[in-house]
Amino acid sequence: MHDLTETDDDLGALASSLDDVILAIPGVDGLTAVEPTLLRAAKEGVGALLGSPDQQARVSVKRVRGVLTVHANISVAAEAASPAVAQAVHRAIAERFPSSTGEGAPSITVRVIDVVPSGSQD
Amino acid sequence: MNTEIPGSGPGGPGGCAHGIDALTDYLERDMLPADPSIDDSPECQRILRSLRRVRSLATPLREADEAAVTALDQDWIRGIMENIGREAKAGRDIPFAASDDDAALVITEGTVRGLVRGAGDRTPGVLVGRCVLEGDVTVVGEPIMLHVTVSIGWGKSVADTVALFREEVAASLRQHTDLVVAGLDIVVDDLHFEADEIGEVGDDA
Repeated sequence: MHDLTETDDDLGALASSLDDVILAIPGVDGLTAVEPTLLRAAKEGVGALLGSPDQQARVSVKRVRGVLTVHANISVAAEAASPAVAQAVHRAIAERFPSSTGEGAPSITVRVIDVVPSGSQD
Repeated sequence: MNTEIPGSGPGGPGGCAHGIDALTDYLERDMLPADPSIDDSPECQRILRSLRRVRSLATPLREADEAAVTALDQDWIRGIMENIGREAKAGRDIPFAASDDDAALVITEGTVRGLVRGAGDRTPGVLVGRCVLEGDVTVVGEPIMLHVTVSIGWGKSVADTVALFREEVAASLRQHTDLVVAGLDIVVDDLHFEADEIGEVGDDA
């Protein structure tokens, strides 16, 4: 469970741990960075990226106006069912947060951005 | 529902920053040297999958008879490639039924169009031209219409091929979306030759 009295480093570490959790879910074929490195470099500058603790994380975990927001962009294997996989990803993310902190539930977005055929050359 | 999805517009997450020409060149080079901005982009990968399909149809044509590839053929291939590039864009977010105030579970419109193209790839003799989702796909349960244009391989039964394609599309959409498809409108707007038919037609000529 994650302690919600977090720092930016905590959020970065949480994002990285979520990467591993999501990739282990059956039917998830891949995970794409919510905020690609090039986009971050354009917004924050290359210097800000260097040494950034969460630069490897593909899941985004941020606090927006006091609400914790989690975004994950997934690719789903064609033989799986996207709605069920998205729900499984949502459940896995939600389970990482305690329900007894008094803080509202995090806002979670799971986007299926590709369905990958089996035997694809991707 | 949470609507603050970062980068859901053009050039957003998984977006493809490369044009059709660049991706075609990349394919022709057997994707070497590897370009992570293409290899790691689902949108680019979706375009590459479609380009492979078009190439598998166009290459035998060219090899059979360079002179037979008319300007019309070139325009046809170019038109399909332009559709592929345009339709691979992420587009609107289409929610799954399980979405609620705290959870936005969605599939992108570009992915759904990719499913339709994939159904075409699995149906012998079908090449998808254009695919349009008409209606408010952003509202769960809202009936929508799907308009698809296809080219059918020469010599195939149009009725049988379209029926097979229709089944493939319906099955794929049922498996991967919660869309309520009120109508699937398939227009056959062209015929094309496939590799095993080129010699046959040439012999007749």
